[in-house]
Amino acid sequence: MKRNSILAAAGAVALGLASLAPARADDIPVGVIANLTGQDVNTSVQMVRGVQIAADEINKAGGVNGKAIKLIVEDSEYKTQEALTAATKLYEVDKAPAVIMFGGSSLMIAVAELAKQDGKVLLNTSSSSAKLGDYPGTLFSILPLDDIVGKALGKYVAEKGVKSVATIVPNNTFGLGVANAAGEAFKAAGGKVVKSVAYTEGQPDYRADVESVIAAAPEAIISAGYGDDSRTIFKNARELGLDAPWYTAYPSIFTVENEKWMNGKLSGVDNGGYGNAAGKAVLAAYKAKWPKDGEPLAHIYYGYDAMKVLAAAMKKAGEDPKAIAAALPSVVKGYVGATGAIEWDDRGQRINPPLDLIEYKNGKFETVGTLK
Amino acid sequence: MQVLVNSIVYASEIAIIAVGIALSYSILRFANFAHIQYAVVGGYATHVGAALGLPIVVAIALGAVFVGALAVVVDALVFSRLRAITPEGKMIVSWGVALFIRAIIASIFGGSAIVIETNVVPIHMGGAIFTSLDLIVALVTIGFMVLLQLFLYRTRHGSALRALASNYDLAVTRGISGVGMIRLMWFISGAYAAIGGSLIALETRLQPNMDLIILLPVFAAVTIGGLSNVFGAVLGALLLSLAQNVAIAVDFGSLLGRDPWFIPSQFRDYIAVLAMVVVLILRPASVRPATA
Repeated sequence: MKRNSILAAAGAVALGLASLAPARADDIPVGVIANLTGQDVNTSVQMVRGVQIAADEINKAGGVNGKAIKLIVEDSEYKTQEALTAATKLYEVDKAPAVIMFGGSSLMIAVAELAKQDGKVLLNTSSSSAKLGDYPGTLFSILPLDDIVGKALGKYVAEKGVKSVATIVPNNTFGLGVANAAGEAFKAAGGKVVKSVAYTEGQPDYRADVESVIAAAPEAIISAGYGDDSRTIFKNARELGLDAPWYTAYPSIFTVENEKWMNGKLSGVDNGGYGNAAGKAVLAAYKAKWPKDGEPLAHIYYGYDAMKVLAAAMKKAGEDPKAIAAALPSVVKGYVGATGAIEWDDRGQRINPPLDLIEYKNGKFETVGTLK
Repeated sequence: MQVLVNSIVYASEIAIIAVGIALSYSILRFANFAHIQYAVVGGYATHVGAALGLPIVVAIALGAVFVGALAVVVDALVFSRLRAITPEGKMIVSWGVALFIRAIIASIFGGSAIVIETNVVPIHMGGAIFTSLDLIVALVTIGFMVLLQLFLYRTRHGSALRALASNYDLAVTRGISGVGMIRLMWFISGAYAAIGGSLIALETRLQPNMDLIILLPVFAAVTIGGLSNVFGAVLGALLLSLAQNVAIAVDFGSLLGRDPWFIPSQFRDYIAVLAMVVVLILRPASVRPATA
């Protein structure tokens, strides 16, 4: 933790200095919004570094139509109001046609509203709420949304030969989004959802919820969750003897309660596909630029791809935000980035993203394969 | 069947804490909010004992002694100096003490949840599922209730406590040591709270804000049972727990001929408030000072 905060502080200082350098008239301003202080600082800094790697690469190769990309990084402090202030400055003062953003769904939606009103472009590298699909022509996502991941999960569980499931998710946009998408896909593949539990976060125990699942006797559990609540759910399930396997969205964000009991029982679908040539090149560039910071997080790949597709669109259409928005869907066709081939639906949201299969084995989350 | 099992387990956890409130109310005539913190401190004390490698039973016992002593000390430092003020005044002071203890816990252990590791086996019986821990919780509570009953009705000290509860001044003039007995009462109520808090910690998880989760059902149980009646509190806990668990287990949707619909389990605590209000309206006598 301490290491992370030092890393983050160093990153924040470096990025701050970068943005202080005066922009020349023939530079293209590109905005970046991230939480450099407050929550999730480390992941944010990593995303920004991914953007920097891409910008460096583009500028070294002569820039976009002869102009250099000038990154302007603003801190959102993981607060909606600060994110809006940052976006207003970037769009209206710095005249950036597009902003690449890291932040929770609540911040991302607020900035998307502003961008839509101003006729600008927003690239999402971090949020996965299905509500982000409501801004076609304004918001484009590099990260697949929860409904896509949920759908892949439901299909995967059905292909495993499972006939009946119960869904257990926290009662919030994230949990319900995954449960609905996974449940629908599972039913479409011939399975049966025998019980749907949406639990209230922060309760001391989930006994009644777990008992209702046991009473429904599903072959497997489909779940999404994180933190203390996921640990409490596991504890109640273990103690009450719920012995079915858990198939989940983003398994590595769950908190495992009992290593031995959970061993081989928890698996699921997560974003992946960073092992390709583009991903390896980004990793090498990261290690050359920040040799002392150890292994990066996956967020660098999303930042990198966001900058690359934005540059490609500007190369084709110039710097007018409307033209960029129009060009983005065409330039991603055939683009294979650090996060794999990017394919968008007509909302500008990723479909068929590369997804990894993750399994919890011997106290660790392991990538055991890729979802086809 | 499942509802009954859940009710008994929940009632056990609540009752053992609630009797302490009834005990102190019956003698000192005020509702002690700090009592809830004694339960929380007990849970944390057990966690410390368990983390030091003590067997869980020893950890709980030491925790109970520690919290019993803490209750005596808090009385000596705070409540004993305020015997003359109004019950409302004491109640507010006790809330202050509660917040102070909570802040200390949060500063020592941090705000995140702690889980005490236990080896628990699921038991399936008569269509109900429960765990070996549930069984222990219920048995421990019954055991300690019997013990308290024997103490209050079969020993000299117990008779003295009951005499103080029934008429404090008369009991003191007849030669009962009021001060000494009050200390004993605090020790017992603190220790019982600690045992209850430890049982809850084993069943769920420890966090500084667990006091608010315990507060409502415990006070509702005591109110339903009659504030100054020790065994009324047990009965109150059972009734309340049954009401709560039945309410969340009934499929109201099917009753009305629609899709299944249940009251979400987080509304359990509001059922406690509802039960309390109903009892206060129907039985106003139960909250008046009465004999133990």
